[in-house]
Amino acid sequence: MTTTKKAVQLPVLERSRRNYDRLRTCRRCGKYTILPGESCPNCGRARLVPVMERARSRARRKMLNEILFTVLLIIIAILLAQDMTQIAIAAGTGLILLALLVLVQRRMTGRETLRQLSRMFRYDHATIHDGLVHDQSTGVETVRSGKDVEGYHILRQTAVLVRNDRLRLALLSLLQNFRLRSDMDLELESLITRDFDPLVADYIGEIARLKRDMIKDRAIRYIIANEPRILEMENGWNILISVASAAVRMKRYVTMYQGFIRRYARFLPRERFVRLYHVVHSDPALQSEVLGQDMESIRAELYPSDPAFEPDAAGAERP
Amino acid sequence: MDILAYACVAIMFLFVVSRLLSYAFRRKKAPSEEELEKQLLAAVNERE
Repeated sequence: MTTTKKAVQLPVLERSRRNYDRLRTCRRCGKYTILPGESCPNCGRARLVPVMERARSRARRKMLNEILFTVLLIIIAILLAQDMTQIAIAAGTGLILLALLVLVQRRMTGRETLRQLSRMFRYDHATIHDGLVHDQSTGVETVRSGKDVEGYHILRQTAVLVRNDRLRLALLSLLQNFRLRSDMDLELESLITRDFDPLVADYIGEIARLKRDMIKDRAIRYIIANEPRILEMENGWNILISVASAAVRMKRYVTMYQGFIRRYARFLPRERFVRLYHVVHSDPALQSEVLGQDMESIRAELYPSDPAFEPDAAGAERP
Repeated sequence: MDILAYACVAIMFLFVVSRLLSYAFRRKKAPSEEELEKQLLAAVNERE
């Protein structure tokens, strides 16, 4: 049974340097959100600021309070002074200490900001969690209202911080309805669940066909770990062949996952088998393994006089 | 009255020195950006 997949344009998820760069807090109500937008989803006011900026302003306010307190003490000391000597001592000592304080504060601003951010995460973790749950609900409601792509994008942004299999499977369910293309901004590693699910295996197989460079250790290990269950799936065989085809692009994967690749080497598309053949033959250690022997017997059986297997016809991909 | 002025200077001195020592101590304990990322992920996902 084939389902009709929609041709869509997926929005690009802008990558940020740190996962907390996208998290914002409302200066008015203190709620958190990871979604873009001018207004706070809780109070509606346009007072959202990145958490880093909030932490920085808290650090600066704290430092300013220290400076103000020191200045206050200087003023009080000067007012209480009886003669010029005492005034000079109060003012001189005060100014030196103030200058020292300001100098050290300037050097410590960055670290104090990080400290304040850590405090925010420690004391506001329940509020942050609630904010992200709210963001997730927004995504679900958007999907239910018929806006699949927009809902997917909202959930995808939430998944930057919320790492659970329920959300991953929700995203995969949505992706299943889209006709994926190689030019799309797709993810893989973040969508692999802890336990086996056919949706994950299907998706890995799809990615292996569209963007084989995205197939890395975690995806390969997931496929190998769940190989028997994948074979029971309707298109399980295709998934395994696709992942093996993707894995042969790198010698490291051929070396690490020899058993897996051996099992499907015979069924690889010709150009992928050629690639695998040259990878194995470029490495004497691999060539002497059972995999090397298998390569020769498969070649002799399926491609007896194919010039692509000559030594000077090695594949274009780097080993 | 003059003793109060000196007391004020002493308090100011102790306050500033305590702040400087506090900064020096916290400099080594300041979290890195990677630690903050992990802290946030743990805080968000531990309740799941």
